[in-house]
Amino acid sequence: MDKRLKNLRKTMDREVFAHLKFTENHKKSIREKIKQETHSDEEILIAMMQLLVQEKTGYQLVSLLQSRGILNFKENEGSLYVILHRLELKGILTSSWQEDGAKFYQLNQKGRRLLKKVEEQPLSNHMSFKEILEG
Amino acid sequence: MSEQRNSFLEQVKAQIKSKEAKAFVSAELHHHLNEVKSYWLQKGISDDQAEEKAVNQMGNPISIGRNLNRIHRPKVDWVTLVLFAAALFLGFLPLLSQGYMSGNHFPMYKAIFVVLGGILALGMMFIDYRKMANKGWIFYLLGTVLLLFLTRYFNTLVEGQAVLKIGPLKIEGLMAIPFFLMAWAGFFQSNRFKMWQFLLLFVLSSYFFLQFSLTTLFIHVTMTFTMIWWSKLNKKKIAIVLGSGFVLVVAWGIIGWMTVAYYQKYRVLSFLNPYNTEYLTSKFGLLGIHHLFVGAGWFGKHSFADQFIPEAHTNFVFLSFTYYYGWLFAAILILALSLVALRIMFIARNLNDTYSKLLLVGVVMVYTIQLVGNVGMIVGFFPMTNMSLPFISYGLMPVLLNAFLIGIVLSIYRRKDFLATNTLRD
Repeated sequence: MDKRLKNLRKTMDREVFAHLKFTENHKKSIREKIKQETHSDEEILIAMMQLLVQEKTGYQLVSLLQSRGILNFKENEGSLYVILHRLELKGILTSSWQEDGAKFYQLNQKGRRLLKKVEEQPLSNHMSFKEILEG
Repeated sequence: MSEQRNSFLEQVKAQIKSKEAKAFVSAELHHHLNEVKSYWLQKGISDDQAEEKAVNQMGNPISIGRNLNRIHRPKVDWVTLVLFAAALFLGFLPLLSQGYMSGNHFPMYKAIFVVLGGILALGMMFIDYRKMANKGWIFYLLGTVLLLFLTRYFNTLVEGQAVLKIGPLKIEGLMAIPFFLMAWAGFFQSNRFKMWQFLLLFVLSSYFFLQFSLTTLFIHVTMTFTMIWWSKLNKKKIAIVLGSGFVLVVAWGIIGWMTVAYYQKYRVLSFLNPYNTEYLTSKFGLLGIHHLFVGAGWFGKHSFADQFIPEAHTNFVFLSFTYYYGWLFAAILILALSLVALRIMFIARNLNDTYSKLLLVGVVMVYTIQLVGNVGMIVGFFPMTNMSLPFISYGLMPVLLNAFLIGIVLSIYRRKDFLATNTLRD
């Protein structure tokens, strides 16, 4: 088994990695990933909820999150809507459509209560919070 | 729409199963792309480049679509469905108790009714009930036409009630209730619906219902008065109108009391005091029911009572059921049927949309009046009426009526998470 794995490594080195060039782009994307991981899912969610105390569209929310230094949604803005829809389904957000096709989200009473709870004890494991993150 | 944007949105949509979700997800992302694009255009780059940047910023359409699909999968309300199936199944027990199971057409007919009811409820689940919201007038018209038709073209009289009998089918005034349920829900969800319109339409429809029986009228009035409370009309106005309506009815009752014939008074009095001597002479009244009901005991008599219970498989089905199976089974039956109502109330509580809420309020009322009314008249706290026990009483039309109610619930549950899109309508 050991020998076979070593063989595999040798072949990989010879065949695959020989063709792979570590470009500046790769470096940049790795740096960005490292930078992004400084924000945990909980932190992002709390930031989102804080921003949604006032009514906002997804677009406004992305820009505000980025100005807070949360870059997880950079080049991946669509995934914000996955979280928004999940929060709406859990009954934490209410939404309304405007005539021009904009959909606004806002924290409702249940959401505000959850936010307060999470802000007071950031380290405790909130069941509902975990549920939201895991879908 | 640019080629790139189109293909992005199509890829997202391809991952999503629900038709409704496809539409609103696409609308929302479209709006987002527009905003990003106009941001880049302000920075002074070309239209094509801005478009490309906007789409690229979105990320991977497949993974977005897949995740959204997981959230917006159409839902089946298994709790209601299981309760519905259980209730329909329990409906076979009275036939068993009455010895109808052998060599009779009853079980076969009952099986057909149950299958038809199931098809109706499941079929309605796939219909988008929200399309009916602005069709209140059509339902009102249909209901009125049905009532008018029945008052003209009935061919049988059952206890003074006009009934149209076609083969085994018995069409009565009660069958107009679903139409009015849809009609009132449609009217009440509208912002433009005025109180005077309500009063006019309500008095008119109540007059038509009065041509049939007080029971049907009672169901109609209770349903409407409960639903109006969830309408967009002013609460104070509603209270004033309902209050003055109540006063009118009481006044009418007092004047009526002084003018009605003796036998009509007797009927009311015998309900209020079933043990007066005159009453004992009647053939089958409250005392007879009471006697059988108390005599059943915890585990029942296990003998057929249909020879001395009239309408043993329809209106008095709860009595014959209790007589055969006993109080314990009767309690289980009531519990199962009550759970249906509780489940619907639970769903209604978590909804924000006016129209869906109105429909569910109406559904709960129509269902509960039947349940309480039927059980109540056997147990003795409700007047004798010809109310059938939901799902248990024999007959196609009652089964279809209640299957219709369940169908509304299933349809609403399936779409309850798309309701936010509805706010555009108002």
